[in-house]
Amino acid sequence: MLTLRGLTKKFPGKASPAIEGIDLEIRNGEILGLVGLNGAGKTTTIRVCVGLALPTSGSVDVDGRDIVHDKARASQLVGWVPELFPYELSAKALPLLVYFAGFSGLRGSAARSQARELLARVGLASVERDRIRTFSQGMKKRFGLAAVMLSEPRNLLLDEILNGLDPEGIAFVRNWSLEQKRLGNAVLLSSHILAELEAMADRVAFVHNGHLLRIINRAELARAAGTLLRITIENLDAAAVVYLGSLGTARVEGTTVLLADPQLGPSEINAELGRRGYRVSELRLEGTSLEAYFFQLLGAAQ
Amino acid sequence: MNVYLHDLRHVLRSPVLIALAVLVALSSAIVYSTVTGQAGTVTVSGSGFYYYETSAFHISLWTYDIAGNPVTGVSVELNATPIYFNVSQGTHVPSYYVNASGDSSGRLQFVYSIPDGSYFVQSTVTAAHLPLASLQLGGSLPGFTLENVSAGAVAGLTPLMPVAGNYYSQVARFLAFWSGPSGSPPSGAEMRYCTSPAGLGLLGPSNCSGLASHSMGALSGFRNPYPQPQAPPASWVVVELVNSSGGVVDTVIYGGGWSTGSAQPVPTLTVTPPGTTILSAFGSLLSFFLPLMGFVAAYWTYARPRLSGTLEPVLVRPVTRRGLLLERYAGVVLMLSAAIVAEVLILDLMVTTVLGQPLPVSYVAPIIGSLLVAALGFAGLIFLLAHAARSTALVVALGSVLFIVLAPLFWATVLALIGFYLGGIASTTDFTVLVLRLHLLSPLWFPSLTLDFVNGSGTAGGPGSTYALAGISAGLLAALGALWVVLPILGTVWRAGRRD
Repeated sequence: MLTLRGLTKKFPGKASPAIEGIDLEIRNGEILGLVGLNGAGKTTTIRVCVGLALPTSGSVDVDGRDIVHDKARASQLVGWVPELFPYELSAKALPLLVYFAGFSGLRGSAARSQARELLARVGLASVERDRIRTFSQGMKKRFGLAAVMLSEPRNLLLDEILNGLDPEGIAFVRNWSLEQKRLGNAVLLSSHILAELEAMADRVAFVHNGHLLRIINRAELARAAGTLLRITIENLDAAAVVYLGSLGTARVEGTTVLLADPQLGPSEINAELGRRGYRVSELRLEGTSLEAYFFQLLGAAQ
Repeated sequence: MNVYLHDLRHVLRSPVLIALAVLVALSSAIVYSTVTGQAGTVTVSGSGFYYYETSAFHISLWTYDIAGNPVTGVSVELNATPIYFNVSQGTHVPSYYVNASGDSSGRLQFVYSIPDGSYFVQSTVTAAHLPLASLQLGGSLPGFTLENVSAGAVAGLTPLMPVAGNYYSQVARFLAFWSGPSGSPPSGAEMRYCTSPAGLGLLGPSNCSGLASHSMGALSGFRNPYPQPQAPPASWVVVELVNSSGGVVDTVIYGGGWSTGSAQPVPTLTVTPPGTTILSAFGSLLSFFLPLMGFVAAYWTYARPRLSGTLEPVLVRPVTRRGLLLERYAGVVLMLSAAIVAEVLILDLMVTTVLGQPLPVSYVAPIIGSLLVAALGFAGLIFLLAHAARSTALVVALGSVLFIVLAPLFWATVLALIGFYLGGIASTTDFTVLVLRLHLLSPLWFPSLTLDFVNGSGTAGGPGSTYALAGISAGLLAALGALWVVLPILGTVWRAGRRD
């Protein structure tokens, strides 16, 4: 179990802290989703949790071990898959994994056989002698997973692990994460792919501007879930956004407006937009309740 | 096995570090040619004159050591190659050889029966007691040029030569080598000097034109010693060798205010203490080379992985950042120590081959220590930079700037410029002492300082030496060396623990 208490991290030269006063628990046998916009503080939170960044204040306990004051022992209990691939690109997969196995007490043939087994498990057996620079984005993520699995940690921090993965890769991570949950491990999964999080996470924590906005579980999400309307307008302008914003929480992505919990029905909105001279090329009611909830929260926070 | 030992083993197996260690270990082979074991063998310089008569160049060369004392027992072979203008490709260019042996005054006389013309001449020195000596005309030139001269007229071969000091003193003087027509005594020739007004900065005079000249005396023979003229700080001194018809044969210009320091007798021959081995290139070469190796080792082991992010997968393992930092520094220490010990052992082997006996431990130990200080001091600075800079490119850039700023010539040049513009430096001795003290602040100079100190050579030995004046002692060198090894890495450990 990971316990974050009042976690604050302020980088030198920055006016405001990257994260501030974060209290969070990632319990054994659960997957906690971490959701936030870019720069919300997700990666900073995770880097502090694995001991890569020292907190300005607050603490992180990994199964009761403080990640700052008892770093070596705490690190034995935590595994990290980073968003950006940090491994030596000129290294070959198998020797690099054997090297990392050494930190888990494995040596010689035991380390080699464990590394081979894990590479086979993540589907990289055929490229074990290849240099990592030749790997695709998905293969690198799989290598990162294999590196984490070496130490069989009971707490896992997966930072944007789904980014850049093909559907097969996403399915692999989903199944692997659920298996970790079944094994009773604590999993923190940060992602922008909210539909996947919704499918996997037992609870979801929302962060914005370095602050924890809310944590909800599946039941609460189901109760609070609203609707999300995706409207693509060919001649979208500021007046249209203002109008749609008056109906609900609106978020613009190019010529598309994502409208959470609109006060009017889709056909009424379509008709009104037509009356106002807007050409609507797509209007779709999406069932992503987590995304809708997220936008609601953001709207309230802003 | 402990996780740190595991990582240390991984670091020491790095192909880059192994290649570096081999390079360091073999580097001493480069200085093989400078290994000499005899007194007065540092540099055999040569000056003189020549004239053309009876279908031959008549050349007189005097060999001398750095204090201007004659070096005897030297034989020199000259090899002249004609200098053609418009030489078409494939034209056969003849070479001409001539030999001469020196007399008790160090004079070598050549009668070189070759056609009148222009030649480039290379020299080869042989001497029973100086097996590896090389002739440097004017103290620096590897060869010289013979030009067309009218019958009997005399031309100089660096005929005016300042000899600024020797191993034990800062006594400076001039040697003038000249003759009359066709090798007759130089009657009517004289030495003179003039001084410029102060405040000319670097744009000093090029001759004595328009300045009051002072005679230093007539030339009494072919080889003539003169004391060095003095002038106030920030002025310039022009010393001229003038022939019997008043023509200036050679000129030497230097800044004023550079006194000869405390006068000490010039030894009859510039000798090193009996049994001492001269490795003239070793210290200066490795002063550059080993810090560079420390730079590369520290960069590869720590700075690059840290700043490129490849250290992060290691840092999330059961290690602490300070533990990992110290372990990687230990890797650099081990690699460089092994390489330097091997390097000095190879050096010792070379010395044993040349001299028939190995270097004493009292000599080898300080060399190894000083080389380690140079390499580790700079490596420590790169570790520190890895925590101060935000990119690998910045570490390389800042490391390079540090290397230049700490380099031997940098501060000597800066001081010289400051000295000229702020009214001069009181004396040569003061200047040398100041430079020496500055060198103490640079790990790059540590091997040279220590080697000179152990050798008792350069300006390091003897009573009233500049080392003594600068307060440099064995204890100070040892303390400073320890500080250079420890301080940068302690600074890095402190920086690594900061919460930013």
